[in-house]
Amino acid sequence: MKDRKVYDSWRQEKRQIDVSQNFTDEVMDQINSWEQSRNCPLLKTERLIELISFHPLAKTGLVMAGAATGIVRLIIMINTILSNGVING
Amino acid sequence: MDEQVVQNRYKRRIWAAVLMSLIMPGLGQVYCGRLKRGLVLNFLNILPLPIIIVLFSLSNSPALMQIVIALILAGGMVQLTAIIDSAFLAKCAGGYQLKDYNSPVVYALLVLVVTGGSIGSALYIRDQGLEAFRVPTASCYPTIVPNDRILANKNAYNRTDPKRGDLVVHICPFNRHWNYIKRIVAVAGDTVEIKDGRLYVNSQKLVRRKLPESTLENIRITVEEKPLEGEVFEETNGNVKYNIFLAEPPHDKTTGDFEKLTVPEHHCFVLGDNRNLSRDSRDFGPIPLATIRGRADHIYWPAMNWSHFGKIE
Repeated sequence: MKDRKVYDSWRQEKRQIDVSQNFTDEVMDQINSWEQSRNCPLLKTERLIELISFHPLAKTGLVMAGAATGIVRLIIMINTILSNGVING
Repeated sequence: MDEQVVQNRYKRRIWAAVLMSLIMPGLGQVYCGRLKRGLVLNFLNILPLPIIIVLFSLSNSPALMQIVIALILAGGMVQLTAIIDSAFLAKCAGGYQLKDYNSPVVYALLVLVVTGGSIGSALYIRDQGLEAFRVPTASCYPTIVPNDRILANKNAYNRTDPKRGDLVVHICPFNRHWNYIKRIVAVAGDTVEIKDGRLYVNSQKLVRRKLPESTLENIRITVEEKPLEGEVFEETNGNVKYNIFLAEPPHDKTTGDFEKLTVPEHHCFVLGDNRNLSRDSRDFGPIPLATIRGRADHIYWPAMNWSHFGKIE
């Protein structure tokens, strides 16, 4: 009996809350957003890229590091082919 | 407002596309949602490598080194194109819907596969096709100047036997860990003899023509801190001609006669072009063909004179 009373008073209280006109849209937006983030686990990477985009120094540094990686990759390949044997006579 | 945030999240950043293209050509296109274009560009970027392998296996063209450099430059141009294209794609991407492959794991896998493939191909080239050597000795002067870097073609004798005039890298008979570079002057069945400093192959004295001093211009060297003096000749051995050098004292260490000998089957007789300063078949006899590691076809890094770059004459 006591539980029933508590429930009814809670219901009364909630009924008095004013629900905005676009409440359903907001909820659906939240759900869509949550589903997108669930389907796209890369969002973190995208966010990281966004974050770096606001730091010119980090951006430049990363591009330089990328160029260095590319050059190192090329050098490793050329060095693999041209790593010298020696002629002794 | 929320829509704007979502759009910003999916925006393709030019710097990120360029970064990925720098790491691996084509990766920038994958980042911008053009998987096929990215893979094609990557394929075009690595294509010169197999072409180089095939060229070295099938061709002995004098212009081979120039073609190889042109192919490497073409690979570089593809990379440049990929960088510019990816930047352009990123700029035009606008609000971008992420694809399944827009994942750092996929990017890393692509880089690993392509880099692994490239290094694997490079190892294959070195093992089966071409091997690079540095030549710190003067035993093949003036053809090879000390510290020239050469490429030996390991497939040269897959279909044909070594022939007279070929410059070969072979395993030293005295020490299996050493490599020698010498010229084949006689093949199996030939007789070879050195009398009064002149070479006889099949009882025919090889014709020598003295070349002017200017032949040695820009490639003069010192041996044991003394200038190497002597005369340079063009020797004709059957259909081939090559230059030899006859060093004067104190560098004439291997002059002397060599008794007539018939080269046994599956062997060849080798001499250094620097006839008086070379340890060769006069010391260790004919060498088995199985000890030949490859034919020295190209100088890819001349030590002194860049006119020597390319095919070894």
